[in-house]
Amino acid sequence: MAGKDAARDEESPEPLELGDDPVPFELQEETPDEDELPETGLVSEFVDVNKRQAAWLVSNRESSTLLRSPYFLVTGAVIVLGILAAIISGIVSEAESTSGTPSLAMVGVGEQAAMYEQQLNIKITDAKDPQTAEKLVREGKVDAAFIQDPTGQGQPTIIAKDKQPEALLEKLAPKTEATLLQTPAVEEPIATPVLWGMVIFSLLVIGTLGSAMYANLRLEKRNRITEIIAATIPPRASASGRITGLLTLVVVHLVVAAVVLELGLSISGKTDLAFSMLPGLGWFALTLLFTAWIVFALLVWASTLTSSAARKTFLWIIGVITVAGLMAPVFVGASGTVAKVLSWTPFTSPIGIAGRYFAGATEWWDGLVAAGIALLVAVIVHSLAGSAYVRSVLTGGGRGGKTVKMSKRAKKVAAGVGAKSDSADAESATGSKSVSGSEPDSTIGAEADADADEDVSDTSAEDAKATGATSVKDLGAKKSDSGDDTEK
Amino acid sequence: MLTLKEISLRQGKRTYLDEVSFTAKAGRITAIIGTRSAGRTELVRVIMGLISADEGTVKLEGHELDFGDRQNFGYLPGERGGYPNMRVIDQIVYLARLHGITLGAAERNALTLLSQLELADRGYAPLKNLSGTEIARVDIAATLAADPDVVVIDDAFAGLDLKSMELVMDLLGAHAASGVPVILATDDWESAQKYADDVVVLNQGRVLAKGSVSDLLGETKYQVELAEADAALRALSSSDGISDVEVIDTHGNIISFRAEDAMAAALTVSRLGGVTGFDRVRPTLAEQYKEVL
Repeated sequence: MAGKDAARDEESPEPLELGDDPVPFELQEETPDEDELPETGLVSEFVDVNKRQAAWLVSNRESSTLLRSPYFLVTGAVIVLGILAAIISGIVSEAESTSGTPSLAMVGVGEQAAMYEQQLNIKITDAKDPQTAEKLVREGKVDAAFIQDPTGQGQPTIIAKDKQPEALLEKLAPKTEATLLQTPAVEEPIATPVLWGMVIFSLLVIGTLGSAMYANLRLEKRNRITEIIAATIPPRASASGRITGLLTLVVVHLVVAAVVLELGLSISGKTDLAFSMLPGLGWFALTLLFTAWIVFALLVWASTLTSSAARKTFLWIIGVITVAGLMAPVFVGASGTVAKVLSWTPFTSPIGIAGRYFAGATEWWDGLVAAGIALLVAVIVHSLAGSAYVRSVLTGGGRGGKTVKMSKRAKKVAAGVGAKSDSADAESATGSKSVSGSEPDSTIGAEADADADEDVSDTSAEDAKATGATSVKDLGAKKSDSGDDTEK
Repeated sequence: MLTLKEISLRQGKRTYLDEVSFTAKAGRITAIIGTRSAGRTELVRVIMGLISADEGTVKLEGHELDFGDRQNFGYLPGERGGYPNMRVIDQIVYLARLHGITLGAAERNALTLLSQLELADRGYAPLKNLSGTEIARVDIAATLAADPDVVVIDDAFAGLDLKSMELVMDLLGAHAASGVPVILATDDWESAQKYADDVVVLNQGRVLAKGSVSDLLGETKYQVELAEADAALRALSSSDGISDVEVIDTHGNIISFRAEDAMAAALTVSRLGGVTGFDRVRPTLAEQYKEVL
């Protein structure tokens, strides 16, 4: 072996002399200096995070987590399927209603009705006067009414309720146009189910997203992730971030629903209806977005309450206002002062303003007023909720939701101190704790820990002062004096 | 170097912290130890700016910290957990990015830390699928992922088993060695003594003692067990030619005494008759302070 090595050494060429020329910069390998490598193996590359970027980070996490959650996907699927089912059922019911024989009310036609029915292949209803004929039209019992001019000089007119009775008019010669009694943007038989659909859509979207956000807020408080976030970014940005994240998802829902609805109507040949619904849908979307904003801000607020009972009450109130507010305009209808007020008021405005636009009972500025009021209220509630969140994080220590457990611990500590000390104060502190049960009233950080602190400090505050500044040497001397500290 | 000067926190009659002062030096692990009601969590919150102290200042390298100055402090509160349905790596990256670290750096650091904490194969699992100790390690990884300038961990050893504790403390030690003050609040005296360089002992909101662990450990004593304690005690007490030995106490047949060093103690014991046992004892931190606490 040694011989082989020697031979190899002899055969090996001389090492290449590179000379003193430095290696050109372009050819230098980018190997970091070992001394410059971090000891932790971690990389430090930072960018400035302002409030908006911090809010975006929180918002992005909130929305991306929810986007992947079954709640969001199921809600989206239910909405899309619901709209498609409504469109298909509308087509079927319309086909059924138009497949029958057209009907016409005529005044004083008497026995000639049978003759006309045979000639025109339509159903004739005899009305005793023009008012009765018009009533039959308004009630939808006939497709149209044939009204003679009372003077006999003019041309007879055909009146219909709110749309041209095409099947009937085609059978008349010469073909003429009917005078419509009502001209709503969207017919009532269509508008009402659509409004109910909007109510269900709104409740689904606000309910699922809101409950997910609330659960997340409580989770963050329990695990005290709130504190980690608050120590890193402004708490107000954290509160705003999660609200804007959810509002993004509301917009996603709205866009998907609107696209499916409009496309569905267009494909099924109801382009006119699709266009006539657009203004109502537009204002509905905008006011719903602001209403959702209000609800989400209120939920952030509710999550900051320490008392479980107060939180439940707050949530119940938010739920009732939301459900009742969204349903009320459907019951009230689209006409009258109440309907007008409801269409401007937050919570009721999404459905209220849409209903009034469908009925054609709006001024051009109605939508603006509804959206403006909802936006204003949303900004105010957002600001208040943000302040409550900041207060809760920075002075509440994020301990909400742990009061019962912590109080038990505090009680335990208090009991331990009470057993050690003969002090009457200690006993009273322990006693009051067990009577009061759970809710600490502290607003300083650790509610329960603080309670425990109080129990201990109350009992031996003087001792603490006496021993607090004791040095180790003093301590050693004391222990020597006591003479019982030896442990093997 | 993080310096706390005369921090006081009160509300009404309650005193949570009373003129607490200490310095957490860069490159060293400082443990804040005390009983459950000592005010550790309040102190940690004051350091992190989550509670405003009534009096006193918190300074980093001489600069007084205001709200918003702690963006690159790594903080882990007492409760462990996180987002159960979020993937481990996403969680670490998200919390790191709040500190301002870039996405690429956060992802790289997350992978590095998971590997160091032996969680490399759990990175893409939702947190809820992990065990308690694994979750505790993930929390530590999330705390360090932004390569923080100061590390503050409340209830530092919570949820960690022996192996995890070694891994975590190696990591924290390396982080401290990179020139960062690492502050651990705990009620686990043994672990604090084992892993910390410096210790601040809190009692009812006041600093009972502070200094390096070796300085705060109890005085070394020697114990000798004898067949006839009285005669031996007389021999020891009479300082029969051995002036550097001092009897501290007696407990039955066991005599505790102070000696200049081990050699002097052994020499003393060798001169005694009827010795049945001899030991060198140094009280732990817990033993040192339990009577006072």
